[in-house]
Amino acid sequence: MLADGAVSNLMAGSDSLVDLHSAVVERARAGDTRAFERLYREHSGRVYGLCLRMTRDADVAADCTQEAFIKAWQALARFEARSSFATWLHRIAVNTVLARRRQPAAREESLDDAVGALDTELTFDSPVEEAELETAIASLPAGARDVLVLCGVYGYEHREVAGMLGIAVGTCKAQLHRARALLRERIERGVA
Amino acid sequence: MNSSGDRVGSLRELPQSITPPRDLWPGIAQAIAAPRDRARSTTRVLGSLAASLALVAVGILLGRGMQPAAVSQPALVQSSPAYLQAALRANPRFARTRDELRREAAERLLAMSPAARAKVTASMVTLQRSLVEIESAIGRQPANALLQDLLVDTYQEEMRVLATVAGNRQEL
Repeated sequence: MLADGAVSNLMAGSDSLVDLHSAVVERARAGDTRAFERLYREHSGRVYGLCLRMTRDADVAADCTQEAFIKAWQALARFEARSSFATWLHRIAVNTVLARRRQPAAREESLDDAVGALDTELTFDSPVEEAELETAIASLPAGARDVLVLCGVYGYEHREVAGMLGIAVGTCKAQLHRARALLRERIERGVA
Repeated sequence: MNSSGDRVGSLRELPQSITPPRDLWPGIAQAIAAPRDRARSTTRVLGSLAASLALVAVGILLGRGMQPAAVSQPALVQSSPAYLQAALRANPRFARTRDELRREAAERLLAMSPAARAKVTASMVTLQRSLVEIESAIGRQPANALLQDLLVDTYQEEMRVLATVAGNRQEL
């Protein structure tokens, strides 16, 4: 059954959908697998999209997605309700992908941390074919690709991405700078 | 990866969500079922107690104004959303079973200690309040599927509670 507070939150007017989501999370935390399935249905697309872009392999991405949700279920008791469930879930997914790669977090190239605050958005002078862009992203080196996907596609801030990937914020900025340059170059060359 | 043919002007225009090639839930459900089954053996007793408590409240509520002849038209049905009332009317077996469970639960309530009855009453009030709040939310968002799911879940929970208190373990 729903917790008192969660149910009451359903009445919170414009925030009712957010509160409803919180109620579902609470039910899942209490062991309700049906509630957890709802969370899976709601979040699996974004988690899979993230894993697919990071791994570049549909089967591996599906495995990582499945593993991430299993880990999330096992760790739900430690999830703090005041934080974003989606961000928490994405962090687990990123960790799962990184573990699959069996690469130490410190492998990142040592690039200049003094790149400065970069705009995480990347726009193109003329529209690019979606598939072409995805292929160009997939062609990037892993470190640059991870940062580009998390910052550029999923909109996370450098601080969040650095935390997810276990790298310094400066490294994150440098990787994004590198990724953007490589991406522009490859799209212009028609690498896709 | 994505061959929709759409053209985008920025990374942010790329779809964040991509449908997995297969439904991953069966594998997840299988993986998470075993540990939960073990835990359930511990929590089942507590769950039954909570259910019992909630059900006693049903009995209290019923006992408060229960007229034997009026049992066939429970107050809950009268306050249910139109679509649910229609569903219940279309399924007389469901309504009949619920009525029977309510009667049996009310009898069991009478045999409980005052303390247990009070606890069950409090729990059942919470359950009833949940139903009212969810129905109210549905009134504002009639098309919200999640709310409708919650409502159905809560009614199912009520039936489980009724079955537990009535001593009938049959799942509906």
